[in-house]
Amino acid sequence: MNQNFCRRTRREFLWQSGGGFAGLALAGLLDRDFLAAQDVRADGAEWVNPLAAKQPHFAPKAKSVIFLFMYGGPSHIDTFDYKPTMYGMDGKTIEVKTFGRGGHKNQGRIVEPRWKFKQYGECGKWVSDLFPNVGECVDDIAFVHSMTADSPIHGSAMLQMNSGKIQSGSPCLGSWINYGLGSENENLPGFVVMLDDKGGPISGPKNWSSGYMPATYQGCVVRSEGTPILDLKRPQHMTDGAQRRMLDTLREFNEQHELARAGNSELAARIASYELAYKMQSTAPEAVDLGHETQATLDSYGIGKEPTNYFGRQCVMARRLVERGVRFVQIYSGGAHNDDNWDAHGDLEANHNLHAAETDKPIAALINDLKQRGLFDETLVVWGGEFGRQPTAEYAKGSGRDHNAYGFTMWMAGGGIKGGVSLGKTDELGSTAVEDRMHVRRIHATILQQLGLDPNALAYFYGGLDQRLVGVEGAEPIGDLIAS
Amino acid sequence: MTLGRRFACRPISILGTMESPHQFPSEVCAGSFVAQDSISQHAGTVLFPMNDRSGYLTPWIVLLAIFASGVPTWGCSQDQDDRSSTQADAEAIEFYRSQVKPLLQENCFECHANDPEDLGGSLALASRTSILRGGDSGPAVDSNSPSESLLLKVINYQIYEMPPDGKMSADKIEILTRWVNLGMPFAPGDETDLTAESHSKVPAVNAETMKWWSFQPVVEVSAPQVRNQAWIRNPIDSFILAKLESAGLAPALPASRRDLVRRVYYDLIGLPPTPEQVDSFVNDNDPAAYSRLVDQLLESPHYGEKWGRHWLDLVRYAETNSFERDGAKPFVWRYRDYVIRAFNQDKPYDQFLLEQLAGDELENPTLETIVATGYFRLGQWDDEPVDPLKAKYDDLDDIVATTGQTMLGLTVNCARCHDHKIDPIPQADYYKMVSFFENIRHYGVRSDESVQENSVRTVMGEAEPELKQAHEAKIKEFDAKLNEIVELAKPGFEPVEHEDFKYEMNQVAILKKRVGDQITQEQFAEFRKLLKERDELILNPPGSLQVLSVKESGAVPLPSFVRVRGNPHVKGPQVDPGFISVLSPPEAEIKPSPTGESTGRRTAFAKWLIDGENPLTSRVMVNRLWQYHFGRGLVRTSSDFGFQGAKPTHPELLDWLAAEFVNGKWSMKQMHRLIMSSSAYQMSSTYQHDSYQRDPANDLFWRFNLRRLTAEEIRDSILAVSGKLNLEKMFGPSIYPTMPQEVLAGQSRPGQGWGNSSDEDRRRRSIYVHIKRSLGLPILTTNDSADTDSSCPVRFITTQPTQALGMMNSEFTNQQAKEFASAIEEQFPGRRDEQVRSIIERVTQRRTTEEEVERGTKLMQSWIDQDDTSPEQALEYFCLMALNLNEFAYVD
Repeated sequence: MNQNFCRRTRREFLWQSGGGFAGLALAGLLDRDFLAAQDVRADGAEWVNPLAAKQPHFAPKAKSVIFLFMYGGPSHIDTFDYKPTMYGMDGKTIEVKTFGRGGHKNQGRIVEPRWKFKQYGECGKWVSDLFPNVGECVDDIAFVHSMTADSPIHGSAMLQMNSGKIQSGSPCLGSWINYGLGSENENLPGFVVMLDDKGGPISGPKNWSSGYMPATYQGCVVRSEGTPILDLKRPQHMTDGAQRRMLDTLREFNEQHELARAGNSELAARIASYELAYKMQSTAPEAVDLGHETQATLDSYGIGKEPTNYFGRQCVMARRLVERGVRFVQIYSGGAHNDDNWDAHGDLEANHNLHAAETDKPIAALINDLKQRGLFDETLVVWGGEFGRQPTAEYAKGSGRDHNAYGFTMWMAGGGIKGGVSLGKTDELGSTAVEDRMHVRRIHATILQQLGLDPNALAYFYGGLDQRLVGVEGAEPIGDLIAS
Repeated sequence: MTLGRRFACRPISILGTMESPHQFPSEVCAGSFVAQDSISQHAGTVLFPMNDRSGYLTPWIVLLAIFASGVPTWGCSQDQDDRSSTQADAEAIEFYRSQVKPLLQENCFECHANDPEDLGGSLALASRTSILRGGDSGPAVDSNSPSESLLLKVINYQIYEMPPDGKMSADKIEILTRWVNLGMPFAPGDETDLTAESHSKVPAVNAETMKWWSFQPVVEVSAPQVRNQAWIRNPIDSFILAKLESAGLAPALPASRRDLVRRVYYDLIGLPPTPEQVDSFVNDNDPAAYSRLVDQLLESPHYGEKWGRHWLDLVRYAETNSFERDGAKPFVWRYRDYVIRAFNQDKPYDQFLLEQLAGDELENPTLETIVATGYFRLGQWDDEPVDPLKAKYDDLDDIVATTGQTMLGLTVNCARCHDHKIDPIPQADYYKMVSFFENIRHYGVRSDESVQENSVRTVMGEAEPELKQAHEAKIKEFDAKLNEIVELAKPGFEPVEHEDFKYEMNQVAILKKRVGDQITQEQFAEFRKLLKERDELILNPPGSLQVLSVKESGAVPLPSFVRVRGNPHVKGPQVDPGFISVLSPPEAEIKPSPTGESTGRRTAFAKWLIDGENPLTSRVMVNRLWQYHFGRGLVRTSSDFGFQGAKPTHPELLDWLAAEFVNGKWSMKQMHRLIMSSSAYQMSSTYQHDSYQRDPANDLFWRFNLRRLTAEEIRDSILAVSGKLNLEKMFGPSIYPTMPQEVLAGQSRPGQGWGNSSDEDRRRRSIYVHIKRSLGLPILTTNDSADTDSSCPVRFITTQPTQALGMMNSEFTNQQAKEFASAIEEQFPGRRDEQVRSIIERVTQRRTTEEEVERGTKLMQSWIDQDDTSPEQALEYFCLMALNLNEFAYVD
């Protein structure tokens, strides 16, 4: 049987910063073992904990990822992709090919960037006035200005950013990471999603689905107010003692049942899962309880003040979760529709002023906090939306910009990523990426790479194919972003 | 860039207007050109002209004139005596060395030369021969008209975008163009032919590959001889026992009658037996009691609710479209009802397939057979596709994938972009199969009306014209009233909302924002009410039934083509409908359908599938039946009978069953009876040390496999033991059990698409729960219900703390524990012993021991004594505990 079907024999992956390769052989084994154990699981075969910690393919740079998802699509030319020649051109009609929700257009009226830019840090990065605090962190950040995606439509673009595919049905980044590495802390979910208080994103739970992988790998929504996780709270009136006694008796019954059924490890696993669930009831609230934080920390994130309170809380929670071994945390800035997220079709200024103000300070605080605690090097922070925005106006009047998947900006920091670096270029309007174009897949590959996973080897056999986050065709990490 | 850009870029249309971006299919397989970026990059502006469409007429083209048409040859074969030619040679080679080679090295060789084992799109650019031979997309240079070459189109970003990181500058493109037109001179010794053997790796259709076991005709095998004749109830047992005996293993003892009755109930109807049902079987000493029980359950209407669900897994049944709006599919539930009824009626499997594939093309189509063709409407649908043509072929691919895997056990879909890398399925076979379905009208174009137009039929007698007119008039009345309110609100719309408002799902939200400004709360409420009533009205026209179904674009099909590299915009050779060639099939015989509305192609496909000679159809289905009974198929990979799949553990048994199936007129109930009457099925699941040591995976079936309940069985059983399960109501539009607020909050419009059902409806079986692709009911999804985006042949069985949290803490289980407790209290008021006994018995369907009763009463007492719990509450807690027992969730 040909083990190398439907993919190329894996290209040599011996590139400079890869580290050790002791675990490389695992790449092949991972999916095969999993196939044997899971795909034909219905028959009560040996139970294998799918979240057991696994060896990475090589020495990882990062242990965890915090993905700050700017849902709706922030305008790159108004934030981090400085276009000096556009100033003074406001209102001019020009020929430019764009494709957004309004379809294909060949010309449009320029909306010049609405904010001033200034230089920050030793690297002299130009950042707009929307992000003065993030601006102070630029020496720790690597910007990719030449991002491209396959769709300028929210639903499909969101799915691509999260799962690599524009259709639903494939596992998300967080699922892949937990599948590849397992979890370091079994008392907490390995893939956490936090939503904006204004609502979820378009397509809702599809954005944290495990797709064709088992539900074990799906994202878990963690709330910053009330019970953090669905069904985490004991039933009303039931005390801890009452529940403990219930579980003790349950265990007695279950062990008696198991005794007569030796050779079925699944039964033992289910018994253990109740103990885990019980533990989670206390560990999860503790993990996200900000009562343990100093006032200075809370202040730095803008907690207790508007408009930073909500996102700030989530950023601190994210830091606390990665401290406890959670692999992947995704925080959404923006929810629901239109101006409740970065989707500035109408009044660009009002929209971006709001969402940037909500996030700028908390993001900078997160970077600084991670650095202060020595977590920055092992935590990869990713910032970006599902696409960027066009240089021209969407409507006859106003400053609203339509979607732009031809070119946009994302950035990464920490987790072995170089600081003070900018890669790739869009044209002078920011309408399209022209240099070092980077498909979303390259970002995915870079994230997996930093976690010690070979993006072209991490595969899951499904539907007759070795499926990969980066597509069966593969993608290379963005080497120029990676610190040696 | 130090790292590679190993991957090819997306294709764009050759003659394209440069307007529409095209993408590769999402399931691009390996070794392929790949959609690295799928959106066109043609943002040339007047300010910064990027003229990517300039011709490549250069002085070198003139030079070309000295060579006749066709590409000249270079190197040693040149006529050494021809001085001018030698001169040109030397110049050309120098041109290659100084200008072309560095470009190739910088931009191309990383993926197309450096690693012969890993060539992008199987294309090597390291020699003239390789370039002319080409890769997966065909020759890179056309020797007859070099200027039309793929290579040049690609570097000009006309088909694919190469190199993917960014287009080369115009002068670089010009150099390569010149070189191609010169006939690609290489410096002597610089060429390596890397591709000579790489193309032979894909399995071809030949005498050797045709010998694969599953491609052979089903042979009628006779049962083998065994020593322990007493164990043999039917030939199945002979096949099983022969293997056990030759391995020196003994089958497990028969299961106890209690275990057996529970197993049979869950297996056939997905519900636990009541204590009375258990007793009546256990105490029935008639030797025929068991077969009577099986017969009785096969006649139960709930049998179809259990077995229909297996089929729904395979056809990735869902009731919404996914994508941004995840809109509801109209009347899709009729298909679900069709499947339930088909199982209940024991519709022969061949007929079952025929109706789903071509029920509209039958001699006498009926409502039922039209509903069956809803099969083609169950997949995802993008109502706002970036590339409409690609979306159409993605959806066709979804049909080919589902049909191939479900009905043939073949991953034909792997041959969309190239020949199948593992199975002998050429790419042309894929497009021949697509061709059977290509004339089907796409699910919709964009709006709900287009879905109605393309996918909904009105079946049964037309209504009286007067009634019809009255109906239409009434809808217009509603529209007018609705419009009045909309017009009031419109001045307040944001520009973007005018667009959004076209989608009905957005209307309420947009209007709501105008309350207090342009419209009043009352007007808003009125709008909602009217909208709902109007929608009801539209769905229920007089005298007719509306049916989600297949529709074709007339009786005369357009020609079908191979699509190069799976790119729908690049046509390859023309193909006709045809069957999988490695099976040596007959030619497809196609007759237009009797109605004249369709091509008859689907009928031809179905007829081939259900012809008793097809070696896969019957094998694949009996294997599934076996899998659902025993926990795993004789072929473990039940949707892949190809080279990559597992081989059968009992090939003779599989063939024997397949032959029985066809001989028994494809009756599924007959197969259930046969399988369930075997000793193999009636074995205990008890552990045996020796056997376990020698065959831990139970490959030989030395015991029955313990199994966990499915997601639906867990929910249904909780309702069943609490006494609240509503079994009376079957069929009809789907229901909406209470969805936790926390889950709804994850939607961009919380509550969107999740309706309210009456309490009575919320207690119905899980097969009637609305299946919304982007929103799952936690108790079902955490317990591994089928993924709805692709065919699910085997359910996962995961064990994770979130399941335990849901079972202990969710509102649903706690509510049911409460119901359970009140039923118990009513039956045994205040009698704690009896209560515990009855609770355990209802949950486990077995007798309780005194020790267990004592354990239970002690627990209840401790709650009352130590936790200040009321006796009522303690009873509820105990019921909750019982629902959490492993014994409840697992069947022996």
